[in-house]
Amino acid sequence: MTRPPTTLDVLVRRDADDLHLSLSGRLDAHQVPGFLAAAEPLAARTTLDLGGVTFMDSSGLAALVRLVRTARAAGQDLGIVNVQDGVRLAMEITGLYAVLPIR
Amino acid sequence: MPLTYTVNGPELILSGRLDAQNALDLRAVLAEHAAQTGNLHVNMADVPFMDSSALAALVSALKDRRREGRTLRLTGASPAVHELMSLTMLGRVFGLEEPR
Amino acid sequence: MDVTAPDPFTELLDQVVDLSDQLVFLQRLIPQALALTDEAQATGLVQQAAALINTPGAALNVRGEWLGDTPGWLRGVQPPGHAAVLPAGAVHTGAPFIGAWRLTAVLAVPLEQGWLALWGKLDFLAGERELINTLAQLLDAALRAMHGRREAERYAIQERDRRQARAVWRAVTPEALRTPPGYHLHLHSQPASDFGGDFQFQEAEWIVAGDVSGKGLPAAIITAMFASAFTVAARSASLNSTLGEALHDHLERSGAFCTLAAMQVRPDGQLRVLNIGHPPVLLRRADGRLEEVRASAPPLGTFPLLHVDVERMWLHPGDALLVYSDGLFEAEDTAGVPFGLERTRQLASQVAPTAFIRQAVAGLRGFEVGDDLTLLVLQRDPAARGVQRRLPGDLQALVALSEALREAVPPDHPALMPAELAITELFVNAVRHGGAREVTLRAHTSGTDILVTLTDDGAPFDPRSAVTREGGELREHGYGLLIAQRCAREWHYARKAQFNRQTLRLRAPDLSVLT
Repeated sequence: MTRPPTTLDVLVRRDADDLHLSLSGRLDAHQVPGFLAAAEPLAARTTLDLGGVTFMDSSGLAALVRLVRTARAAGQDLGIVNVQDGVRLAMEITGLYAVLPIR
Repeated sequence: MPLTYTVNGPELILSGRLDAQNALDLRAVLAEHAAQTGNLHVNMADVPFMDSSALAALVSALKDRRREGRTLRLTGASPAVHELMSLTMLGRVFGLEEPR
Repeated sequence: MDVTAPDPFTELLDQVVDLSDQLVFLQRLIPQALALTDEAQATGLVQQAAALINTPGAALNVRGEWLGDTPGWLRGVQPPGHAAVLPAGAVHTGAPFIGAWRLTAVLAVPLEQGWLALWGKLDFLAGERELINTLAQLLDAALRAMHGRREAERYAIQERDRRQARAVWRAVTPEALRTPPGYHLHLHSQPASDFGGDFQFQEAEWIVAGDVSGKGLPAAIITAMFASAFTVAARSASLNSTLGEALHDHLERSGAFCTLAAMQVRPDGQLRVLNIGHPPVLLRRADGRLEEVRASAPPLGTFPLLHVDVERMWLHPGDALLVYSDGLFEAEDTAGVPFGLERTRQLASQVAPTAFIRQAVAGLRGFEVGDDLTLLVLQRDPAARGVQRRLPGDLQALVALSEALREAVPPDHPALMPAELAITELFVNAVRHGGAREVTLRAHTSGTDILVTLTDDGAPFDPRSAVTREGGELREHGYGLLIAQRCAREWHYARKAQFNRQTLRLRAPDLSVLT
């Protein structure tokens, strides 16, 4: 088994009104600033693909919440896909799983 | 080492080490001084070291005074004495401030 | 008219009569002397002898004390070196003026432990002096025999008491303790006398050590009572007040004090520790760092026990608890310098727990141990799986934190993810809000739980107090500690010296409860 990722990689695909962000690795307190820098500005339609995220802490959740609120305030659409078990746990524990736009 | 002390009115001034060897003498001196003065003021400024048997003697004296509605006050405690008192949580009952 | 010289035959007859009286007296005296049970009776014998030789005054002095009524002038007379008659007039027999009283000679005969005096006539004949000498010898023998009997009785009582006390003591303070599974346990018990003072015993999961002040039989009895009281208290829910009530009255009445260091030891490393008036119990972490469990109440019997702190902690693999009595740090070298607490701490920190007792005993050479010496070391098996890792207070270290946890926990462990979440949150909190520059993670598994101790050197802060919000809102902040709370089946906080210590039992949360 390979060593779990120690950082966060963000694959950004922008075209016209779509923004697709594929995350892999750890979204923790240390990695959040880099993530937010890569994610903004949001598009009319943004998809956050968390399929490669192995670990997310409350700072990571806070970053998601911030993006969701920013999108809503601007009338933009944002969706979250491919939530893995560990990330789902963090979302369930905080009750965020029910209120985040998870598709 | 034999117990060394002087009496200055209501104040009992102890000198030198207080340990198992002179603990019985200490009890006697405390009792005798209390009989004469009522409230006990024990000055420990000249006591560099005290062990648990001496502490037991002081506690006995304090309890006896309390039963009579009187007090026992300790002053001049050295760092070593302070440490022993605070380790056994007895500092407060003798009116010593918490060190540091 | 000339004074007729006494008829020699009559004189002899008189003497024979006297002698036979004396012989009869002596015959009667011997059994009386042998039956002496106290010194006052000896005075009676002296007075009987005096009467026999027509001497009104008789008194007995034993070890400087005059027994019975004694004229004042006699107290001023020096004890004789050998039997002597102080001639009439030689001693001023207390009269205000010489002519008012008859002059009297004083027969003074020394004893082994005093002397006797007879007076009231002008002279003492040779035969009379012989009689009193014989009496003195008999009295010596009788008094010696009497004291001997008394000593033997007292010794027999003492010996019996001593044997009983020793039996009680050893039953209550075993020299060997059972080692709890998963641990190593070492005990060094070195009493200063046959019994009394330091004690230790086990009751269910509890290991208890302490020190009763006041030695001898009363101390042994007190300890036996204490052991049975503690048995009851340990099973009851409220350890504090039960202990206090059970013991305080007994101890106070006997004037004894009793310190206590007690630990409840669970197989998976969970400990409860309480300290009542005992020297600080040292928690030595596997890396040598020390934490202390200090007394939270003065010794039992000094003042009513109002409250005792029961500290919760995990012993991770390699961690050890060290309990010692004041015989250790109060031992003194030839210059009177005590071994001291500081040296004890250094020894505990620098030396592996398995070597602590050996090194302490070696270190005490050249010191006089005046009191009982008890050293107890309980170490969690260092070979068991676990992790202890010091990390810098830097968010970059979050990765290392997760990796460290995985050293202690298999990848499929049900609590791994919640544990990783919880410790991450607490780490970030300590660094961001407490300014911690170093955070230490210690962890090992216990069934489906993970036992974690997280210590940081940040500002004092009990994070449990900050968790007030509910989840489920779309907000950015406040989730960290909520996560920790929901993953922690148990969460204890303690401020120890200069750092914060979180003690957590982490478990996969039951999510059905949350939704």
